[in-house]
Amino acid sequence: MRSMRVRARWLCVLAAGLLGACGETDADGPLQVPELEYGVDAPWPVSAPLPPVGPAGRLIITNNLEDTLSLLDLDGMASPTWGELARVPVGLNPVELEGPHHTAVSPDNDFYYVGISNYVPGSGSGPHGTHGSGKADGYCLKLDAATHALVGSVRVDPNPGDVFLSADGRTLYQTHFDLLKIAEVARRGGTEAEMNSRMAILDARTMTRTAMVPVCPAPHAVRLSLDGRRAYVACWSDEVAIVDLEGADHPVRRVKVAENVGTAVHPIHQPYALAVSPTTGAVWVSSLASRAVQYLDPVTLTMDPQRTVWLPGAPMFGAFTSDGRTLYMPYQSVDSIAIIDPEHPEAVPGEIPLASSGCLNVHQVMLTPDERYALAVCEGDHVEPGTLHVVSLEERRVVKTVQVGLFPDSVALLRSRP
Amino acid sequence: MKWLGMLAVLLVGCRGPTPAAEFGETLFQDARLSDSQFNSFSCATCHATSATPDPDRMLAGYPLENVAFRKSWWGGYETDLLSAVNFCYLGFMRGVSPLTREDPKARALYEYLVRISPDTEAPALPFTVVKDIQDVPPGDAARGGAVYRAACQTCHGATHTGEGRLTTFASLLPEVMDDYDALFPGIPRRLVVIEKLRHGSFFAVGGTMPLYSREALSDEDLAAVLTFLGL
Repeated sequence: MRSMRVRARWLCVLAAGLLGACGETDADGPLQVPELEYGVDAPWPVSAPLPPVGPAGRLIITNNLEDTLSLLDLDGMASPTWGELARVPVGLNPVELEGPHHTAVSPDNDFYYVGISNYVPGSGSGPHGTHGSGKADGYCLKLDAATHALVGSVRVDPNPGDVFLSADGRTLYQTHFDLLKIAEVARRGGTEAEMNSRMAILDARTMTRTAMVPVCPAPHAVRLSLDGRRAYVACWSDEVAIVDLEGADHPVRRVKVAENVGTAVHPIHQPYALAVSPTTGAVWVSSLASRAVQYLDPVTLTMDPQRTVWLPGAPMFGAFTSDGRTLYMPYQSVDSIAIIDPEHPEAVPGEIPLASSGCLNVHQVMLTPDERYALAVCEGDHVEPGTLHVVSLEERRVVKTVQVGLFPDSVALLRSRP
Repeated sequence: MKWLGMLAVLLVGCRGPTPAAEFGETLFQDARLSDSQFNSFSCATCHATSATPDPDRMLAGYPLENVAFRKSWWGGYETDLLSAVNFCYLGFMRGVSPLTREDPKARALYEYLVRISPDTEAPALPFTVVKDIQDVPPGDAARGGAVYRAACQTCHGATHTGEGRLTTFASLLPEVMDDYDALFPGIPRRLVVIEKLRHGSFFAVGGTMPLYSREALSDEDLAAVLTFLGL
C-alpha cells in the first residue's frame, strides 16, 4: 500500500514536469511562453507600399481637419486624371482629431516631419470640456517617407504653428501659435512677457528637445537666415523675433514691423508668415490684419517701410524663385497670387487669380523644382474639401485643380532618393 | 502496470512545440498578454471572434473574424495591423511598451488572427466616433437592463454591488455618479455617462475604458441603459 502511494507521488511529480515541458500555462502565475511552432515566417506584414517617388517628386499636403496627408506625384501632373495618389492617416491617436499642421522634409528625403497642433475646432466636446481647443500639448512627428509610418515623436508646447528644418537636416524649429495664452494672460491682467510662447529647437535624429526658447506672443512662421545662424519668427504682437541660434541661451531680439503697431492683445498688423530671399537673405513678413508684406533688412535687422507691399487681402506663405527676382505671394479675401518684384516693391504686382478656379482661403504657394509652376493650397470653407491648384507661371493662370482633404494648410515636396 | 499506462497517456499527450496559433488563442483570452500587473483586460474583453453576434454580449470592439487582412482598422486611421493592436494594448491593456513584430507573444497572436481570417478580401469597417456629446431621448428600462448585462456588466459587475466585476478599477454603477455633481457642477449626470460611453478614455476623459462607436452602440440602446441606471 505504501509503495503504491510512493509511486503515485512520483507520477504526480513526473506528470507536472511533463505538463511544464509541454508548455501548459498556469492560469494564475506569470505567463509562460511555451516553445512555439510558427506557421508564418513574416508576421504582421505591412500593407503594400506606395510606388517609389518618381523623378519629379511627391507632394505632401497636410489636411488639418481630418488627420490625413494627401499625396500627389508630380510625375503624372500632365495627365488629365491627375489627382491624389493616396490619402494616408497621420497622428498619434486614431480616435481623436489632432490637427496635422505644416510639414518639413529631410534633405535626404528619407523622413518628413509633421506638427500636431491638437487645435482643431469642432473636434469634439463633452462635460470634460471642448477638445481641440488648443489646451493640450502639441507634438512633432517624424515619419518614414517610404512607408509613412511613425518613427518618432516629441512633445512640445500647446498650439504648434510652423515647423522648419535646417539645411543640414539636423535641427527642427517649431513655433507655438498660442493665441489662447494671450487671451488667458490678458484676462487675468498679466504682462505681455507672460504671453510669450516658446520656439522648440529639436534634434531631428533623436526627436528630442535641444532647447525651448521664449520668443514672443503667438509666434507662427519660422525661417532661417541664409547662413543658418539666425531664425526669423513672425510674431502676432506686430513683431519679428530674431533668434541668435549660435549664442548661448539663444538671445532674442524683437523688431516692430512698422512705426504704428499695436500690442499682442490688439495687434494692428498680425504678422503670420515669412519668406526669405534665397539671394539677398531679405525677410518678407506677411501680416494678416494690415494686409501688408513688410521688409526686414537682413544686415541692419530693421524694417524698411518704403518697401512695404500692400495687398487687397491677407498675405500668407509665399515662395521666391531661386534667383530671388520674384516673390509669388498668395493672399486671401480675393484669393489670388501677387507677383512681387523685390527690387521694385513699389510697382503694382502682377496677379494670378485663383478664386475662379475654386480656391477659397489660399494658405501657401510653393514652386515646382523647374519653377514652371506654382502649387497653391487652398483651405476651402473647412466643411467641404480644400483644393490644390497648379498654376502655370508662364501663362499666369491655373491649369489644374485637384480636390484634397479637409482644411489643407501646407504643401511640401518629397524628392526621389538618389 | 496501471501507472505505466497512465504515464504513457501523458507522454502521448505531450506533443512537443505548441502551434503558435493555438497559443495565440490562449493569449487572446488572457489578460497576461499585457505585462502590467494592473491590467485585467484581454482581447476577448472587447472582441468576439465570430462574426455571428452573441445576443447576450455587446462589445465595444468589432468581432475579429477576418480582421487580419483588412486594409485598415480604427475607421481607416490605422493602416498597420500591429499598430492597430498596439493601440489597444497600450491604451486599454496598460501595456508598458508596444508589441514588436518578432515578440513570440505577438507572433502567436498574429497567427491566431490569421487563423480566424479566412476571407483575405474582407473590407475595412466603419468606426464612427461621436465627437460632440448630446443628450438622447428617454429609453426603455427593460431594454436597458439587457443592454447593461450585455455591454457593461462584464467589467462593472452587478449594479450597486459590483458583484462579478472584472476589476476593482471598474466603477460601481450607478453609485459612481454620486460624485458627478461635485466634479461636473451644473451638468446633468446623464451627459457625463453618455460622454464616458461615447468617448471612453479619450478626449481627455481618462481611464482605460474603451469607447462605444455608433456601430457598437446605437443611441436607442444608449438611452435605454441610461433609463435603466435611473438617469
